[in-house]
Amino acid sequence: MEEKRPKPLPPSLRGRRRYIAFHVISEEQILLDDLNNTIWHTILNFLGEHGASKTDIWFAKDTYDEKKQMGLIRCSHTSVEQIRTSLALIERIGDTRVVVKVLGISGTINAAKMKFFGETKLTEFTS
Amino acid sequence: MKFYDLHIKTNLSDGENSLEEMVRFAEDLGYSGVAICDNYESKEKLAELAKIIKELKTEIEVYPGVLIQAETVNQLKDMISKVREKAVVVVVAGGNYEINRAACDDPRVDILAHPESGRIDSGLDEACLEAAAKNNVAIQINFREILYSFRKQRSYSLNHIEKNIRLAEHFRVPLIVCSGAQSKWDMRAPRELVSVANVLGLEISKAFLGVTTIPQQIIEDNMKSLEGKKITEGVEIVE
Repeated sequence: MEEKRPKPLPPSLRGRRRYIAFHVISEEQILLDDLNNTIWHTILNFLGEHGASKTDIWFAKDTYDEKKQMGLIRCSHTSVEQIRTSLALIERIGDTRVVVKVLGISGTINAAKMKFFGETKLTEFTS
Repeated sequence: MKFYDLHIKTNLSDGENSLEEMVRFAEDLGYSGVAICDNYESKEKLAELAKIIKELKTEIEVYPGVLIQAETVNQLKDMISKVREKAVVVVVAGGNYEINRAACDDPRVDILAHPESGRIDSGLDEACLEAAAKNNVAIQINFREILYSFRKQRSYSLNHIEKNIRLAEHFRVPLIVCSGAQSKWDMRAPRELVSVANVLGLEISKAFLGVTTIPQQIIEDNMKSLEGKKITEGVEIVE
């Protein structure tokens, strides 16, 4: 049996969030796990455990495309600059030297995908 | 909006990548202009740099600059007088207090880079900042100093940079944000540099000035005086 989960909060009580779309520039392919570990490592080093908890960070793993090397990170709306700085401080992943470039910020996953990854809504074709 | 990075190095001195690679990468990151600031060795090297820039075909603006690493004040002054007529951007590598002070006192200097580098204090005091404000010497926030320091050292350098930002704001000294890249992998997009400055206590609008208006102003002023249009402060030839 599936474990029961708490009901989703009403929008007014949820934390305000932003989605940061990023692009990893590198000469070799960067895998999801390596990237996830490095991002967490950098953020914990730079902001500390307490600071990292305040940013409400979550790496949206299913949005990361290993071929295009683009993905999304969720954070609270007050800590966007801190996450941006942490991403700028990533200089290598494993043995590969990288630059993480932020493509932009968005309020929802769908809007971020359409704005920065060039995805289109299916409904746009019908109308 | 035009973005500038006025402190990048190439393999003409101790950098890793060639000038062309650096410029292409800067273009990809969204810069509209860069200044190549390699360590000053001789006048011939500076002429060589100017020649390479002339031959380069690129969309963005590339300017010849120079990074002065002096050990004594006399050496610094000597080097500045040699390069001022040739380079668009003159950057002095700080760290030594006497050098920091002399750089702030000299109106021919454009940028004082990393005054806190390798020190146990922030490297600037009231006298330096007053002089810098008077002579219009910009204090640089160097991203590479933060990127390649770790743990205790990084927290010290962050603290010193924060202190310098606060003091520079108080004395109205222009602040400029640069990557100080020695390899193309050290470069970051301009908006990221703004974020770094913002996290260190600079207001976001002022941090934007540090990658847009202030570098642009430095370049415009120096281009004018190199072309002979600007005679002295406030006196210009208008066509």
